[in-house]
Amino acid sequence: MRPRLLPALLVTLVGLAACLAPLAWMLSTSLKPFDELLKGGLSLLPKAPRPANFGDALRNFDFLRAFGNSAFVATLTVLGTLASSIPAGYAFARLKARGTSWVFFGLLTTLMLPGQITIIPVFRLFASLGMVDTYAPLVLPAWLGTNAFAIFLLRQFFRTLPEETMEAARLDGASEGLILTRIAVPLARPAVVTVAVFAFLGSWNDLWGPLVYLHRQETMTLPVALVNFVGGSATVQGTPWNLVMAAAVATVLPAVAVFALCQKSFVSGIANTGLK
Amino acid sequence: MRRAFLFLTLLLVGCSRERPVDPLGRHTVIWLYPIDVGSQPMTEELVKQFERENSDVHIDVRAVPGSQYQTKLKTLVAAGEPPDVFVCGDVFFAYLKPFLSDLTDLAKRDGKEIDLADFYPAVQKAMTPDGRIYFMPQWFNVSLLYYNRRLFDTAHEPYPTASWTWNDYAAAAKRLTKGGVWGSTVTTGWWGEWLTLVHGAGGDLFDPAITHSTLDTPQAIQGLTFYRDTIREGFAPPPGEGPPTGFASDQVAMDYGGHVGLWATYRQIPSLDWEIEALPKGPSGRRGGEISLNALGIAKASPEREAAWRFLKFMSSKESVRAHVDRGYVAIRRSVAAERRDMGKAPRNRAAVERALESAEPIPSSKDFVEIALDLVQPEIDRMLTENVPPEEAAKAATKAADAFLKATSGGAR
Amino acid sequence: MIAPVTIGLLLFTVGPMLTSLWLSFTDYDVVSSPRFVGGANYHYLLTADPSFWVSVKVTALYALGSVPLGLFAALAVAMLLNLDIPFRGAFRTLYYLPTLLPATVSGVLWAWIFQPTDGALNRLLAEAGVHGPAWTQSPSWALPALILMSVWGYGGAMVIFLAGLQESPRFLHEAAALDGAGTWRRFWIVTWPALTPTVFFNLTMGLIGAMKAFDQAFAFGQSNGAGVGGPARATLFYVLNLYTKAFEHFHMGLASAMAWLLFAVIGAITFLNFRLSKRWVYDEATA
Repeated sequence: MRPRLLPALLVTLVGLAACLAPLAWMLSTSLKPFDELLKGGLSLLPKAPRPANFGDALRNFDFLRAFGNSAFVATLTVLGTLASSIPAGYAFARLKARGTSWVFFGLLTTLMLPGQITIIPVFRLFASLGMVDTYAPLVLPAWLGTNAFAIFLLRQFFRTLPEETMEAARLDGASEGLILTRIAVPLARPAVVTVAVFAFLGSWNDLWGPLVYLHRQETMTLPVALVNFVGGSATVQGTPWNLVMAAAVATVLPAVAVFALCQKSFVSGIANTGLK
Repeated sequence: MRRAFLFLTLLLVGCSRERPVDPLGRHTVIWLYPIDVGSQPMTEELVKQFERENSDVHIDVRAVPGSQYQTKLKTLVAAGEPPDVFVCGDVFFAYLKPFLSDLTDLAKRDGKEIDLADFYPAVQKAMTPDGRIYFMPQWFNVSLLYYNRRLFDTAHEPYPTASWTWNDYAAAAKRLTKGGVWGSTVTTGWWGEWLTLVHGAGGDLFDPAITHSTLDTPQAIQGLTFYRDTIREGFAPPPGEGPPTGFASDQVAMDYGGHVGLWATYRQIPSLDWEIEALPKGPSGRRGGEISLNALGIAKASPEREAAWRFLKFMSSKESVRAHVDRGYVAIRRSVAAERRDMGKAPRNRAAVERALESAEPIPSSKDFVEIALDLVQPEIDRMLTENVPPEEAAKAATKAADAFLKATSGGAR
Repeated sequence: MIAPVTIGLLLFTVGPMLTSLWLSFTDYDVVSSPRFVGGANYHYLLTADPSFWVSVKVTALYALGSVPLGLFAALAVAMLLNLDIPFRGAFRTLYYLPTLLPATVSGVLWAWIFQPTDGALNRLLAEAGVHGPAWTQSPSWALPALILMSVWGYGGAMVIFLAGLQESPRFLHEAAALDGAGTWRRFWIVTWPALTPTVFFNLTMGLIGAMKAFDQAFAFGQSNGAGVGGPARATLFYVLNLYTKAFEHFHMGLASAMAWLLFAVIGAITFLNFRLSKRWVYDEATA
């Protein structure tokens, strides 16, 4: 490294410390026993770390169950997104059926739409179907191709595939569906992974949907459970921030794990969305 | 593709909800229950006992986080799926009334069993808002003055009495504020304090017919000014600067208008030596405190009205009230109060409760009360407390907003 | 193949959009049927409802505060990382970490950091002898707190900027350097033009995102007990106001009107952004 870059390195490190400090503080608070918290002090390292905080946090407010609920909803959402977006993206990329451009244009405008425009009529719809306190409102739209971002991303990717391969398969008598599943999808793996990760995170972190549709404690997903936890866990001595932070850390862990696993392709995926 | 649609249909069918069918063939009563961690064991025990004594009824307790209770209840009502039994009798009653079943006929029929006269007169009055009965209560809250005896003793201050006025209260609070101790405290985000002071000064939020807001009358402004002065004169900390747990921190000498639900909490703090007294009288002679009932009502559309009614009777019975007293609530039935079950526990000045009941203000009868008080008036009060907005100005802004809302509500936009 | 998408589009987008437009002209509380009231909702919102313009102001301040600050910070970090410092890849990943937090967790975490009496920030300030403001309980400081929190999460923009910087052709830099251009001139002539498309993208996404912000404001409000919109409505974001009207008080007509007004504003700003972009964004075609 050239010596004149040393100041830059230092600035970067300082900036990084400032940036990661809150995360470190979150982790540190989550391991502190409550009386250490009350005493004050800014030590990052807890004097008597208490991993039991996590157990306590998970037991309160059905947090552990919220974990399961979030996982359930997220899995169904990802499957639905893939099931509807992959064929759609492929169709928009390669098939020239009539009316596709209209549908595609409609899809583009949904990217700009605030979700709040449609929530009330959709709420009414689900209410009339008796589905208000279920997971249907959260999962069903995914299966009907409402993730415009995913469709768009997949379309862009499918467009780059060589037509000759498809043509050859068609000549061999393969149906469009077969071409899609056996040839196109395997070739599009990076895009599919990116879509899956985004869909997972979107569902895992969603507050708005569960807030509107879910009521009973047993059905809560993690973001709502966390917010309820903060709002309703105050005791005589105040809010148990150490437990709240433990719950927050638990909420974030899957996202961090997923990120760590797909780091390279994920980050380059984001970079590419900005460029294209 | 076809398989996907099949799956979808199954999902649709599987997810729609109907009333649960009890495997034992019992009547199922759905109770939307706001979670209160402290009293959950008591509630569970009561439900179990009820089911033992009424083996043909099953109570389906659907737990909802307390802070979201009203939203969830309203959503379910709006979606056409109200629970059979839900909490009412407090400030939300006016809004919920159209969805409540009129229980007057049942109350008459079982009059001997429920023994209405056993409830305090003020409670009876609150139970029959327009001569009819819509709910059965388990406990009640009245606004009281809470004080910390240890802090009073340390400062050699005489304890509050029933004849205290605002001036006595302010003077004592000022004298008590020293050495890290605060004389009193202010709780933002809720009308409990400012409305009480407005009442104490002889004013009110609305006129009796609820056609316009009366917050800009001189009396109301006097109440708000007194409220603002608690901070300005230095005996209550500005919002956010005091101990986060307020009175429970053992550093605050008095709490103006605390909630009876906190009794059980305060009892858990060994060092906290606390007592109660009726609120001091304002310039108009009124104490200004409110009464609110924690009660259960039955949904109008409930198919299990009779079974639900049996549950309501049980939850308001002497047995249930005794369990509530053991948990730390104040007895709502005079017969149970006379038993003095919790004699040894704080607070000992139970006469203060009866005094407070005598002068308690009734539940507001506007269905938009909460929205107006919290969304339209409270922000102006907040600004008055934190940004030095003069009380007259805050009152005028609040009145203007409330009037515009009332006009829009009756005129068209809600 | 696009049958599910078409159904979804009609069922969950087009249909509801038209319905909500209709609802915005009605008085509707879900329990009873909608009642036509003409423009009364819009009239109330725009002239008589104190919370409407406050939430517009709060959201606008939030957008104007957090987006430029966030973009500036993201760009600065990207430029730092673009230099040949060691462990660049690791730095990039680490700076991106805060973005992984959902807005709810960020809201809760920063509510804790900004807590007036026990929070880390005020304790830090106390060490330096400064009496910090009551952040989450203070009408003047609650919004700046949220803005700071938002800037912290701009890792996504940083990554996009970094990618944009790395696409910037090296030979142009070297040519400019050979011509004797100093660092700043090189930035303006070579780096900036190549960056403008990414800046534009990040700016647009940032503005739209800020205008739709909800999760963090909701979480913040739940954490500090000063009421849903913060003290004196200081953090009453537009969408939070909408949510309260729709799902706490069931004024569906008013909420629908608010939604359409938001859509109109987002559309207008995006359109404006696109138009103005012709002035300052360098396309490959026009370069």
